[in-house]
Amino acid sequence: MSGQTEAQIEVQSGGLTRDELAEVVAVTREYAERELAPQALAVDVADGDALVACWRGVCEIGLDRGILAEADGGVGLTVAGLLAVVEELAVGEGGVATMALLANAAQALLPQDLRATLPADARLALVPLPECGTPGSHSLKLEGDTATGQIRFALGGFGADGLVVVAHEDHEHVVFFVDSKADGLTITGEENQMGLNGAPAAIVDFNNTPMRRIGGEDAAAAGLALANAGIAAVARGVARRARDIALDYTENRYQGGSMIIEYGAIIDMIARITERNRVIAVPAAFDGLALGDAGLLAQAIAAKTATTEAAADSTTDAVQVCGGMGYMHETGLEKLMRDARYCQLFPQSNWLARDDLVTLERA
Amino acid sequence: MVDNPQLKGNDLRQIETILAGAREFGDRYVRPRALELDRRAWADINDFPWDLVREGGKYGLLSASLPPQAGGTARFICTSLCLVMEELSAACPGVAVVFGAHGLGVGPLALGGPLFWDGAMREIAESERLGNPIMMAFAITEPSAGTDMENPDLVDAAQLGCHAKRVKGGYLLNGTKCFISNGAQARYVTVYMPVDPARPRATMTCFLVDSRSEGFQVGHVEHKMGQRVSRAAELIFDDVFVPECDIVGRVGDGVTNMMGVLIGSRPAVGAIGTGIARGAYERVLEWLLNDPEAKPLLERQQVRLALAQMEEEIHLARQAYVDAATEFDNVSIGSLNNDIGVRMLGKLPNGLRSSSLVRRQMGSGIARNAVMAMLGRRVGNRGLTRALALSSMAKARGADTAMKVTGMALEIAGLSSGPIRAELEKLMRDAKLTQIFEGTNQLNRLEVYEGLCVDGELGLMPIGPGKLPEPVERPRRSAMASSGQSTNGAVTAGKAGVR
Repeated sequence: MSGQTEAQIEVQSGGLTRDELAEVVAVTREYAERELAPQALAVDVADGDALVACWRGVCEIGLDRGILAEADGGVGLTVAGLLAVVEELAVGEGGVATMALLANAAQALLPQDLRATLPADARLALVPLPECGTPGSHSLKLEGDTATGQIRFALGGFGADGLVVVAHEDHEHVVFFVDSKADGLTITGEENQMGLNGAPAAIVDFNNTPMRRIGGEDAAAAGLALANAGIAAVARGVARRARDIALDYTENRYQGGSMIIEYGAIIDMIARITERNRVIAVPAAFDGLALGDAGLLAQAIAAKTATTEAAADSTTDAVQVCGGMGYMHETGLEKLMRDARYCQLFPQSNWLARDDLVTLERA
Repeated sequence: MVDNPQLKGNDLRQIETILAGAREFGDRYVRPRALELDRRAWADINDFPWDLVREGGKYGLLSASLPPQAGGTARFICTSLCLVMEELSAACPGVAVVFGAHGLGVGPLALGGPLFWDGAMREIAESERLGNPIMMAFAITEPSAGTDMENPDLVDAAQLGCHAKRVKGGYLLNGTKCFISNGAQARYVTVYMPVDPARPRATMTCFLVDSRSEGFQVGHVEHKMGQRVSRAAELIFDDVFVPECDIVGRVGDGVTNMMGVLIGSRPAVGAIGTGIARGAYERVLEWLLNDPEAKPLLERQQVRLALAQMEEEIHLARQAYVDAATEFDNVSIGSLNNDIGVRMLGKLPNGLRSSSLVRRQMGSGIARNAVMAMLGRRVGNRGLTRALALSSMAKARGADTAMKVTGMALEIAGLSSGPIRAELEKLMRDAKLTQIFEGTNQLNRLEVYEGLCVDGELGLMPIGPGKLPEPVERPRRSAMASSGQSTNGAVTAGKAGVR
């Protein structure tokens, strides 16, 4: 077991009691409702001030590094606890929730000595590259302690102070850290980002850029597990928000003299959205699992594929329920549909994730 | 190209010409600019690519929806419009809908019979030829009435806010329409309002409104998820006067007219969906074949299966819209334009047809009744219901195909695929609207049930005696339309109303 994995287990040992976790979740829920949801449309159109304000709020309640032990400046969240707060944040704004997820995942993989060298308010982002041998995965070449090449799409990478990259080297996973101010590193904002705009994506160019290797397969597995499980939590939060908006609309919109919730076509769609939300409970599926556990990554991938497809279906249905209004930006639903689609594609497309799932199941 | 036995000779050549033009226009002028147009439209709500519309005019895309008698090119209007829509949508659905929504606006006039050949429609054809395009829009939806406006069984219970009030010489239109594609750009708008708000089904009427009319105002322009080039605007009517001669059909024929238009336009939406799906499929396949990083993905069985399924979905969606368009052109409403009497009228020289005598006759109650009588005799409620069902099926199928295929393409490509990702994302955003506009897919499928599952009859023909407009002096604005004279032919209110 690598040093990084030991560090993760150390992180887990600072876990909260159930009551304490419930309180953190309640505070997060209130923050998401009160502060994030009203800013969601502004964040979606890349309003920098709105995003900064939202992120500041996340930091103030300690959720940018909540997975760390209290002694390390965190909250002591377990994996399930982190997923619970990420889901609540996503009910408010999916992109900000994703940014929190990626920051926590990056912090979890960071060795303590390296963390100690970073500013206390540094925002980090985990960048899991797609499966080895797929587009975007092999333009990055590692040589010793330098990297050269490009990461085409680093979700949440724009504006981050440092990146923790899960990459590939000779078909093996490797995890490295790079400071955003490192020589030869250029981070450019991605202009075309359809969803999760609260986690601004970047194109990252490395030119003989110094980096620090911080882990191998175990650390990569932990990072990928957090990315997959976390994006599942984001997707579920997004789907919950979509359900709330759509249901509210159906009780206030009349067609043909009746509330539209009285029509079978609408009932069916609302029921399906509700079914998916009720059946798929992400944090509960991770109860008792810790970083480093053997079955964590498979569980995370299964949660990611199932939940993100459900969320994509639910948000698409929610737009349909609201008809033309659902398609307009001001309603906030079409944004949720775009966010949910990105959840399907991150950290890699579901069909590739399923390949990995079967590989893990057979191992 | 299209399996329509009646398409042969000159008709086939005309459609092939239109199709080739649409393809060239799409490939040369639209596809390379699609992302840029989408971005501009989001950044500046007033931005509109008139240059592209002018360029499209050179390919006859604005007159593609006109009957030949009014300066259009193709006799099989629905088929040709559908093929154009698929081609343009494969390039950029937003641009396709600019031309498609124009065709939708023209629709009521095209169905209105010979009286309208020499007014706005001929002006559109002429202005297109002169490189100064005029567009139309079609206004049904209201803030509190959407899907129910498009269903004869629901419209009486709809919460309508618009109404037309009878005044001397015409009607005053009041209320707000929303989500109107081309609303902010259209010179003419065909708009539906009831004359008696208490009886919308029986008194719904189609009016031709000149957007330069006093009291007409463009309100809020929407920020949409997709199809952004095609602007959706709110239209505000504040005592907008419409003279009697600009009533399309008869007072109270609005629902019949509207549903007739939708029978012709829903296959076109199916074609838009098919085109979106095709655009996504072509892009992802090209990427897989030509990008060295992507090529290895073709070795994966999942990718091959997905590509095969995309082909299959697109093929079936195309078949659905071609069937519906063929029914429209050969069997139902479109076939009226092939009626011997209509064709003979079309052979009259424009000058003669525009003469006050002929216009008076064509605008007379007898002529307007005759149009509705011919529809009742040749198509009838059952024929309309069946045609509506086929067109609704095509619409729903094409829309679902667009969503499914764009999703699959994006899934194959993933977030790290480079520039292709933004194009696929755009197509997916564009695709969603096809499941919503022209009646949600759910409403469309209920109409499939009526027309095909139980061989039912929706009440699509007028339910009451259509009241005929009284004669009035028509104020003409353009020199070209100056031949429009008063109609003072004999009018007998309450005559036809064919059931």
